[in-house]
Amino acid sequence: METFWQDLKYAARMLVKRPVFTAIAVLTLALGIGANTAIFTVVNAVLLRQLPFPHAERLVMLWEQDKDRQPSNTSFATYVDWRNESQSLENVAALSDWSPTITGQNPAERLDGLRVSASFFRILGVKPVLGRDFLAEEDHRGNNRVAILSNGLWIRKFGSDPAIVGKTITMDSFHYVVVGVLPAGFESPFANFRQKTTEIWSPLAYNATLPWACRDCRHLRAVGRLKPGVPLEQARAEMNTISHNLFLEYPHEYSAEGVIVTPLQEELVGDVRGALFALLGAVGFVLLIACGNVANLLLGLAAQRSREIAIRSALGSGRGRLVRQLFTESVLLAMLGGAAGLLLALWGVDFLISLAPGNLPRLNEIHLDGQVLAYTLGLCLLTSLLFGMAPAWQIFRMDPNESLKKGGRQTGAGRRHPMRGALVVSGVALALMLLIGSSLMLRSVNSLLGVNPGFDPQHLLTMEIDVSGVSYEEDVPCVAGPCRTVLNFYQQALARIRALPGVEAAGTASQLPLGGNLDMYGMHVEGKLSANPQDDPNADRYGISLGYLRAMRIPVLRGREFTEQDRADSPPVVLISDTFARRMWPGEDPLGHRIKMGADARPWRTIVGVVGDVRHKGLDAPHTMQIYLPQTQWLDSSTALVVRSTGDPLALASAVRNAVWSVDSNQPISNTATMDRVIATSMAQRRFAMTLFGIFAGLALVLAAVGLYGVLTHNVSTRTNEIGVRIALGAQSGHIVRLVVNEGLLLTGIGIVIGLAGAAALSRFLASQLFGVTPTDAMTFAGVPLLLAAVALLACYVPARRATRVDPMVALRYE
Amino acid sequence: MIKLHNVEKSYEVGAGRTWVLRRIDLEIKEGEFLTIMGPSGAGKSTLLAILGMLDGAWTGEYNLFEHAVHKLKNQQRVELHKRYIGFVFQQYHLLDNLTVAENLDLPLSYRDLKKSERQSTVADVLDRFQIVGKKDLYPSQLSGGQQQLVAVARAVIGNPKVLLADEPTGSLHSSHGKMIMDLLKELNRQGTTIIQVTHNDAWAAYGGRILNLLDGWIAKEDRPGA
Repeated sequence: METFWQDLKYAARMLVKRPVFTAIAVLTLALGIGANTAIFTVVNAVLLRQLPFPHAERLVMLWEQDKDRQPSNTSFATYVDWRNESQSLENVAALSDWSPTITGQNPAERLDGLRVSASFFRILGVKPVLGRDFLAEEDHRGNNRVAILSNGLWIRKFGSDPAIVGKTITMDSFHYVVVGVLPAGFESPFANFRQKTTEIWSPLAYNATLPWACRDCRHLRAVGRLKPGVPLEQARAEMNTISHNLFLEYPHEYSAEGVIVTPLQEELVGDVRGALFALLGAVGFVLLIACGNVANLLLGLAAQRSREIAIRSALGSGRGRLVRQLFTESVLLAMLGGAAGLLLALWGVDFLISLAPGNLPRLNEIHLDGQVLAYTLGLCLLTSLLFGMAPAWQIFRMDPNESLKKGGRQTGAGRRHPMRGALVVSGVALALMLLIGSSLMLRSVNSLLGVNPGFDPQHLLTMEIDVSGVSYEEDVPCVAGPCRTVLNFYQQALARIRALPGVEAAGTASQLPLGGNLDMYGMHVEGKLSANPQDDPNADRYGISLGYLRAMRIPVLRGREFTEQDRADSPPVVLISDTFARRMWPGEDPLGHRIKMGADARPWRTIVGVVGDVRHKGLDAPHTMQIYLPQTQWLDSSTALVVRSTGDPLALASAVRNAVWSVDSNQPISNTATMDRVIATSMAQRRFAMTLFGIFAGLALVLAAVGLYGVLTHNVSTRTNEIGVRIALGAQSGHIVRLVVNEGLLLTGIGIVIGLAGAAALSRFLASQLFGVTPTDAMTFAGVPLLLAAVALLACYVPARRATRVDPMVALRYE
Repeated sequence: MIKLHNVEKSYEVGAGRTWVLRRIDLEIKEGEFLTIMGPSGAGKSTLLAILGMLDGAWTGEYNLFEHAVHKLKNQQRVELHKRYIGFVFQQYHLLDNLTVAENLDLPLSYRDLKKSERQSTVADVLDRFQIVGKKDLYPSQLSGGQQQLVAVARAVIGNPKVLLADEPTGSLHSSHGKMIMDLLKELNRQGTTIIQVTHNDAWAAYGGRILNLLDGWIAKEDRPGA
């Protein structure tokens, strides 16, 4: 123990005695450890930390499997069968998006909520802190006007009223009794279709007689809890058996059989898992480069200290003791770097949160905790081992006699340590791999920006309007026919908006392309009815007003757009997208053909026009088939408003909102944004990964260049004598510059070759993050090494210029 | 061939000035063998460095053949150095990581000669100095005398008019020292002007003229054969 404290004392003294060395090493490690800690904090919160529910590992999401083997929403009828027949699941709850407008608490506000089965909170294992959970009898129509509030909503909207339970609140003009308030720490793991977390819940209250409870009315999500001890695979097998039986029993209601059972935690983070692990890998590379640089610094220092080490050795210190002394220094250095890195990480985590896309799951759970601190401590020890090994190895190879004779100085021509070159090479190789990854992602985003969305996003203002209340026939779905009052509201609002100065065109649609909504229907094509429903195509549905296509500048390629003659009582009509037309009627004219959506009861619709494709799910997603219905023939209570302006669209926002409220001031307007912003949001996750990759690649490049610079500077100082001789033999500045630069470029060149091989092997792991560019894109693989070589050249040039200033007389007297 | 007039060199030390060379007037004729002697710190090596144009920070006039060195810029001095001067050092200063042949090639590589021409010259010199068998060895594989032999060969490979030798035998055993001095004498006989710095009276006697420096001044001039 005493020798440990002695070692520590010597180590501290050594670091204090060399403040510049210590500062550079600590800063380098802080950058590496800080970046790693920050990213691990995100990974830990999003991917690793268990959801904050009792036995969260038993919570699963249940999805129907569509014919493309993709997860799909389920229907109430299917949910009931799953719940009743499953033996593996303790319970299953269904949930449906709900966006009630709360009034009586000025101003009216649209809330993000869910309608859920009464068992929902029991399945999650969450109990209200005030009041009670939903009762089974409240999950029936007539008894379901009750609500549970999130803690946040209770504080924000009701001032933490301790007597809130039992009070009545008004939503969509109906009165709901508040029966409970959830604990402060509870965050709903279920974002709604607007990617917002929920803050109010009400019972689902479905029964089999409701038209929207039919077997192919797939708009519900389902969450279940496995019975204790039941493995996931067993539940999957059982649910597939149930699904197979249902498929046989109802062949027309299912396009495919199979149930996708996914752990809830995996479900929440599915999309970002790849990107976050790629980022963790990237910062790992940065840390390795930082370790290499510090190892190089220590090797340089060890060379300077060879006399000290030789004297220690001559005085009886064994090699083991010397190595322990060096490792103590390394650990102390790593701890200092770790402490500084932790401070950087505190700032870095805030930066990451500010940069993260709003739909990053568990965003609000990201914070430093004990696990992160343990990770950082582990990193410190690991890094100290990594960079402490090099000087320790040097001690094993050192001849103390030689060192004493030389008086600690380098030999004439500057003996260079091959390990230092190897460390520079590895730093360059790692930096190149990161740069290539980052460039591929940058090119992907550029490719995305070049994708034509199918409409003109410039000068477009968008907002969401949710028409609700008794005056708008709430609770009567408008799918069955026109809801005149709602229609009148929209038509009047649109008329007033179009009259505003600066408005070129305006319209509404049931959903915005790239807005994150999914409203897809199975299509029946007259004359091409499939023998098997599995072969029916699916199409995205847009219910649009007059003027929508013009406002969006979606071209009509054939036929006509909707007119005022397309009324509720006129023959049902439909517009189809170009992809729909080409896929279903290749080489034919689709005009006049008829299609039908979903259930047999729905009417045949005549195709009156073909319009251009729009990107719906994302700029990187392939074209889908799309249909457009006139708002007069299929009306949604919730709709997106698009306004094309002649100038800055946001400048119109206030006037447009006032125009809507001039028709009915009780209707909440939300999500006001330009279409450019909507598109940017659809790319946010990709941009997030790209930005971070870019930052880490930049950091790696700087560290690699600094490493190269450090080694060349050291080499120049050890080659002073050699350079002096060369000058005395007639070498000019150019010769000396070339001598140093060539050495640097040789190391860089080897690093580039290794880095290219590594990048070719690793870039395929980025494939899921790429768009419009292959993982081995030739331009990237050719261009990035040139950039790296240019930076390396710069890093070489400074020590090279210094070498030309060597005074041969001084150099030749050096020995 | 070489004319120095009023050459001086000094350093600023604090508020004062330390003189290294004072008012040096010296003429060296082509084909001469000049020895410079004096105690440590007398300015011998500095004078040699000025003559070899390795040191540019001095005042006075220095004419080498028809060139007024004191008026030349650094780049022009480097060119002149390459054309006229060869250097031999006490510590040999062979480059450890180059073979004997590569060390010999080094000065030629700075003279923009074709590779074939350089190879031929190196082969000639290896033959002339009888070190063909050592051409692929590294300096660390040679004795001190052999290393200095290579260093002299490297100094003369560019056919310099003047060979500057700074204590060329200082690190050698006397038998090796004699070999090197005989070699210098032979080079001088073949027409090369030799200027050497030495502390050894016996080696000094190889020169036709001995210049004694003291505290930067020329204290005495002897002609042993006269």
